[in-house]
Amino acid sequence: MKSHQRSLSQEEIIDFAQAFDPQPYHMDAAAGDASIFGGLCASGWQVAAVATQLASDTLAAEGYNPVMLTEVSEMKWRKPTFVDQSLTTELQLGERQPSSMVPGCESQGVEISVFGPEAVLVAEISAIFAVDTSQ
Amino acid sequence: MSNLYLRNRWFEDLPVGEFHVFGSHTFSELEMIEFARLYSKAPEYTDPEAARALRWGGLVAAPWHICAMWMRKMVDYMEVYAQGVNDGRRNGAGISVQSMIWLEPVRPGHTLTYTYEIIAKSDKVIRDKWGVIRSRNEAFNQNGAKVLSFEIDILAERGSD
Repeated sequence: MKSHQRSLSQEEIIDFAQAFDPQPYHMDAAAGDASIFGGLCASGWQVAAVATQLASDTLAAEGYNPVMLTEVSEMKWRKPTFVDQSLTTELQLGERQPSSMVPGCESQGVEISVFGPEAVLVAEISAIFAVDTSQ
Repeated sequence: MSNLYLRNRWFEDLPVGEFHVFGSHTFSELEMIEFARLYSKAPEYTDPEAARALRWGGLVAAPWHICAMWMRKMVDYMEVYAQGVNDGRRNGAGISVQSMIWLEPVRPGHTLTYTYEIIAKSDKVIRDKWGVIRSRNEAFNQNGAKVLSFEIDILAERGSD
């Protein structure tokens, strides 16, 4: 399953960083250029939030009734996400467990691959969503 | 003296087993909604009225909001140790997360306290310069209930001598 795309503007990246991740390479272009990342880039947490929202939207469109993200068994940040780069996700369904921390839900494992431009792998997220099976 | 000791530490100086209570934050309804409108668009996180009829019986913080605040508290805390170091810090980027779980809802007015413990140091050397530190991170609410737990690997600069 493939998601829609979303990109993050310079303003969105800097706004998020000022609120939650005020490190120079997330707030200032020159500092980004001089950093290990080689450019102003989004906080990994902003990328994670965007990617799981894209994944959740896709699960919803496919009829899986995702209610909330309950676990991330593993997440790897592979590459920085720069200004205005398009992010998309590709989902592989994993295990389904009959219980969830969310009452009335089951747990659905989802392997989320997050891609930037030219299919560069930006992040990998092994997520568990609570899904409502009563509908 | 302890501040001077803790500042400016290299990878080699960070001991496994070291434990820190590094920050607290009280989540307001407004900031929860502002975060969720941008990053987690479900009524549980964005709409206090609608949320009353939903499974938590009221508005709750989006999972990534709880993590984003972890990051903010960590950055603020690390600033204490980073003064006077080349680009301002020796603790670098996060590279991976393991075993992250959100255990309890966080509601408006709840105060979370964040802790970390260094649990492992890897032998890996990245780009000739960085070591990898694994820490266990947890957040507890004002009643002492654990609401978030995860492990994260971050880069820490190795000493040059």
